[in-house]
Amino acid sequence: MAEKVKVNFGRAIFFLAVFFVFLMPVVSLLKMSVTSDGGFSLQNYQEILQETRTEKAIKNTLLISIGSTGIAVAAGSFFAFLVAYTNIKRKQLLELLVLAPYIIPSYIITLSWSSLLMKRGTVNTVLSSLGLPVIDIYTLPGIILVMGICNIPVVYLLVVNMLRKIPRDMEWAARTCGYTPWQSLRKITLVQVMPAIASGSMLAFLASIDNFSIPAFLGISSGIPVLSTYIYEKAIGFGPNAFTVAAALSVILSLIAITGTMLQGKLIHKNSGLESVKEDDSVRYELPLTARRLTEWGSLAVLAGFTVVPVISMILSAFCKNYGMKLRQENFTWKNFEFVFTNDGVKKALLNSLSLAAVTCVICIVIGTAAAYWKVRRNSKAARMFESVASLTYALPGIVLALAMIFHWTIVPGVYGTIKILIIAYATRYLVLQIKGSTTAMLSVEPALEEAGRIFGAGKATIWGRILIPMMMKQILSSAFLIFVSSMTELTLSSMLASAGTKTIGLTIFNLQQGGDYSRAAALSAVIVCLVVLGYSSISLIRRAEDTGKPQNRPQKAAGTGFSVKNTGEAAI
Amino acid sequence: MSLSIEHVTKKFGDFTALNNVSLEIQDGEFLAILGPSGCGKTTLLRIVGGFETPTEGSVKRGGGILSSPKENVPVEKRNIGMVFQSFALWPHMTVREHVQFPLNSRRCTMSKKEKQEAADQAITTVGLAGLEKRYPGELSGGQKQRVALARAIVAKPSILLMDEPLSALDAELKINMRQEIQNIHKLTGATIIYVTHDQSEALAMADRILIMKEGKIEQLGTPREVYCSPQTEFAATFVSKCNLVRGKWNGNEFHVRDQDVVFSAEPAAEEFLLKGICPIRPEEFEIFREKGGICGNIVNRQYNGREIHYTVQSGDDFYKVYTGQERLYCEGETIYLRKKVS
Repeated sequence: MAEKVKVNFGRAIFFLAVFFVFLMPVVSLLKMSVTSDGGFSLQNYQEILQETRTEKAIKNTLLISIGSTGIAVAAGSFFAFLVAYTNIKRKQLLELLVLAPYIIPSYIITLSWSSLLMKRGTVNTVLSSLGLPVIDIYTLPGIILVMGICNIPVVYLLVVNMLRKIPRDMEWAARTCGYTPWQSLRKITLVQVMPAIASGSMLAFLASIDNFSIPAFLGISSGIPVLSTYIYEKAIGFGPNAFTVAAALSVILSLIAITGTMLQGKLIHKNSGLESVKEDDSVRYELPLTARRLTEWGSLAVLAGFTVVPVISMILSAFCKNYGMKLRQENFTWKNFEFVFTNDGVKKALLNSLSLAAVTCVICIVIGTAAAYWKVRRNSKAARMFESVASLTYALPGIVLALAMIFHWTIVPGVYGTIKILIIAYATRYLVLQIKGSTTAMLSVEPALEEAGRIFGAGKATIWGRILIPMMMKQILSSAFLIFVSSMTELTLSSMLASAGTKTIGLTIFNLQQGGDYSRAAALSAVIVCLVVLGYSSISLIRRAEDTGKPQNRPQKAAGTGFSVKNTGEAAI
Repeated sequence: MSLSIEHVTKKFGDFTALNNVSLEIQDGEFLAILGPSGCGKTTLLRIVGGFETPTEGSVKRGGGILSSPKENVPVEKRNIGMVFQSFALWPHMTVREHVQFPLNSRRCTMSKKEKQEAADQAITTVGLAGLEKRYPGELSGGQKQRVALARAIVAKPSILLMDEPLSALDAELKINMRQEIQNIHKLTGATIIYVTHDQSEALAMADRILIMKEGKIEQLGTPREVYCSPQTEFAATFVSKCNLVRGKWNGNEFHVRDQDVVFSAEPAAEEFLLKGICPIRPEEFEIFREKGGICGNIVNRQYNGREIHYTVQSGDDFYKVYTGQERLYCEGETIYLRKKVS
């Protein structure tokens, strides 16, 4: 009897805590959006819908999202096809370049592009000397291009996995029925891969709606509002009802995002038929030598142009005395890097971001793995509910979540304005990634292994320490790595939640850029790129060393990125 | 228009999957290619189908070259039908759409009415009438394989390739489907090339069996030839599960090693004469309690209903013996094995 009371009491506390941390912020946001002059009314909605700037922001948001999704789907699917089916070489390098925007934060890619396409930069100088119009990146097409590039990896990962899962026999069967390779591709393979492409485009669309940094870097100064930057401007601006109007805008943006997420979830369920099929890496379309070389080097060149060239241009510009001038001996300086390594504010930001990332990681690993255990092994309804609630906070656009955090956590003293609010916000946002990752890890350990441990007399601690954790380690860490990188380079949440002493790296770069201090922003970004690339390559080196030790290593399984679709695709459901 | 495979070799890097394989397949023949996994049987089928090109040698049909290292007629122009081990059905098409798919290709020259009739006929032949509107996800394993068969035969191809078509089905269904495939062979008159690792399937259905091992032909012959007079050690053990009794040949007599036993036997293939081996199938042995024959102990007995399977140890050798129900011997019993007089 006492036992039962204890269990029920524990359960009640659990539900209350989940409700308080994950749902209350959303409730507060909804409440705030229908509050004006201290009472309930829909006046906020009326007000924003009358403003022409709102209309413009919604229109821009849709234009940018649709346009960039188009780019991401076309490029992502094309490269996925090349890597999965053709006989091109250098697939690892190609995949690495495709996935580069996945590990380099989008504001750094934006900064790189703006450095590459500076008014007096090489590209535009050449263009104008040829009598062609110069390219201005601070425009709607500019935002669409950069956003598209940043969303290629999401589409690529979903499509490449699906393509590898489509059995080769299906195409061959069509060939024996009298169809040419290209007809078979169109009538069979394309139809099979369609759900993955649709799902990928939905995710790319959602990511564009959610993205704050690209329109913030390129659109604020040039007067191109989108919903996320518009909410930001409203919220940080002053005015009698700044927050309540921002809340109403947020509700509109969230409605778009959540509808999209639900649609995407449907698409994933629809194509669950091929889940269990083994992946097949064999070459299905042999390109003749010349065509192969052209495709191979052409693709590599285009991809390098997407990320590597702009990033190099940005790094070079960080060595310039005067931003926008050519890098020559008389223009060379170390002072921007000197600033990065000596300025107290920057050092504090680096420390903040690193410790935020570490703490968020630990919290997510512990809670996420526990939730996964309850979900998989105990088939607990509470854990399932917990997961869907955590998915909700992930599906909400970052800027909306940030606003909700402000409204909710101000009721608890000593949270807002300190680093705690950032820790809570990051954990709330990224936890579902770890639940998904740990679930995958858990599913790969058969219950029988755990039971065998129990039969031979192992206690709970031994079972976790000697059986579960060692077997799940790799998968858990790969989700955790994603969370670590995301929190370390995060901008959206911190742009709203950080205060004087709790600035993050992303926010520092953003502030430098907004203040017109491009060279220093570039220098700090260069350091971050180096850190991320270093961290990434050491991880893949460790992986490769582990893999070569095993009898069945698959060299084709390119790059050993550790980013599976599980982390990107399903997290949004 | 017979199909001739001439000196075909296929290498994947350093690995030789096929090593100088030559044979002629007659029009309308049912040929089974039998061998363990990795013997090159599927590679051979894929070369005939046009999915792979040979490294050396050629495949010809009626004098024209189908496959050679330089020329390769594409799969879709070869007028073949194929049944895959995995069924290879398309999840987005109904049964009817599967059957119509080959008819709607450019290769098919039938009139609209002929197409209609061909589709109806194929569906009835494999017994799928009434299920035309179902999707593969709504069919059982056996029904899926029927769809695959109907799709393969509907455009009336002259060659039907079958790559272990029954291995994904359960035991009883396998036996039932054998008859269906035999019927299809009779009905269509197509040449069938049937790859399998199951010797009983090959024996039951084929006109001729090609036994392969490590990329080479071991033996080619009718089921009876292959079963009753194997030409190699591998053929003897793989197809008819022969015991390889060691000893010495002397004309029509075989002297068993270390035993004072002589079998009268038809002189076997060259390989056996040279190696001093007499292949004896398990059912060719008889067990006696009375002296005379190879002396041994029964070390294992398995009751199988129609037959009883014994393992008999004689010195270092183990023999398999299948007997009828008449007499039962116990494990540990000392017995004598004699060869039945044929």
